[in-house]
This record gives sequence, C-alpha cells and structure tokens, in this order.
Amino acid sequence: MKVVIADDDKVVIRLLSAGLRRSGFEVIPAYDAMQAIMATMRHLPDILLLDINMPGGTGIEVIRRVKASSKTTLTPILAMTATATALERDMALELGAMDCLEKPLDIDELVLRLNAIAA
Amino acid sequence: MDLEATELETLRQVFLDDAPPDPSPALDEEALSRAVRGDVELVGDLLALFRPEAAAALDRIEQALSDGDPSGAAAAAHAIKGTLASLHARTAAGTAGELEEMGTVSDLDRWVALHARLRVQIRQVLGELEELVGRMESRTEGPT
Repeated sequence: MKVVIADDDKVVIRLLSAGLRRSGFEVIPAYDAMQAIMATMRHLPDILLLDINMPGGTGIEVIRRVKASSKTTLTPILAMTATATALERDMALELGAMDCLEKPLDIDELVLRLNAIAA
Repeated sequence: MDLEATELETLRQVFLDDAPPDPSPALDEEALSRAVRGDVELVGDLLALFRPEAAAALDRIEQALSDGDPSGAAAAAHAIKGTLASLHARTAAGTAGELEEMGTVSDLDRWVALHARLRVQIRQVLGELEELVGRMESRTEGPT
C-alpha cells in the first residue's frame, strides 16, 4: 500500500516512515503543502496522511486541492495535528478528510487504521 | 515593543545561566524505544534532524521575543512542540505549549523564563538522545 506522508516536521516524517515501511507500506514523504499536492497527483497513493497544521494553514488547502481534482478526489485523507482548533478539525472533516488524528501518533494504531481503510 | 539588547541579555542570563536541569528524565525512553523498535540508525537520524531544528526554533523564539513579535514566537514554539511530542519529550513539549499559548509579550519575565526553561529542557533531551544512541550501539556491537 502506498502512503504519502505530508508534514513540515522532518522528525515526524522520519519516525512515521520507518514504522510504516517496517509494516510493508511504501512511503512517499512530502515536506510542505506543494510537495503534498504534487506527490498525491503523481503517485496516486492509497492514503494521504496529512498534517493540517503546516505553516499558513496550508494543510487545509491541500485537502481542498486534492478533493477538487478528479484524479485524486477519492483518495482517502487522514488528517493529523498536534494542536488544531476545533474549527480546523471541523474544516478538515468537512472538506473530506476521513478523520483527524492526534499527534504523536502510535505507529501500531496507525498501521491498523491504514489497513482497515485499505480493506 | 522593542527590547534593548542589554535588557534582554540581562534577563536571559538571570533565567538561563542559573536554570538547573530537571532531575527527572526529559525523554520517555520506553515510549520512544517502542516507537523505533530498537532501530539505532533511526534514533541517530532523529537526533541529527532534531538538533538543528531545536536550535533554530530557540533562536526564532528569542528573536521574536526581542522584536516584540508574539505570533512569531508562538509559531516557532508550536513547531518545536510537535517535534518534542513525537520524540516523547513531554515536559519540554509542555513548556513549548505554554510559550505558544502566551500570545503576548506583555509579561516579559514569563516569556524569558519559559524560553530559558525550554532551552535547558531541550539540552536535556539532546543529551538523553545521545546517551540512548550510545547504549543502543553498544548493545548492537555486543561484548568484545
């Protein structure tokens, strides 16, 4: 299963990538909003795991763009955040994210979640 | 509000130079070890990624403090808070969270104190990460 992980925090990407690769996932990292959109359009991942608190509120913009494209509108998006406001969470869900996960993510729970989405 | 450099430096020295390290562990080593599954290379990478990020965040907070820019300080604190939480450094993440939530530079003493505390805690996190890498490496190498 192919996963794009979008986060401006390199530590988070390194940790999650290692955990997911150990569990057999193919991981494509994206370090900002533009990379997240490009990687999703180009690789058509099974899931986009997206930090919605990237600088400038750009995570929300990524959801909007991904859902607006016919190529990626069906791509499941799991939002993640350390401190999103209720408004940001609601917006992420309203725009089409499946859920909004609290950071730090437990890798075992994340793997279960991703496998359930893919099933 | 622009602070005179000397005033800021004086406050920093008062809080920073005398700030004792917290005696309790800065890292939840058990949680981090579980997350990395004993992968010493991964912990080494995390340390290498975290070191410059932490230094840059502390500098950005300090710069924002001297520029009287609370939103800049909050943004920098927010960024490093997420990183610290992911490393299971909860105490330091909490301090970064307090800085993020200050939202004003009116209480200068508190700003400077929190920044100094965060600097000390981050130094502890780095030290404990280095120790963890060392211990994992020696376990990997085994007895000679």
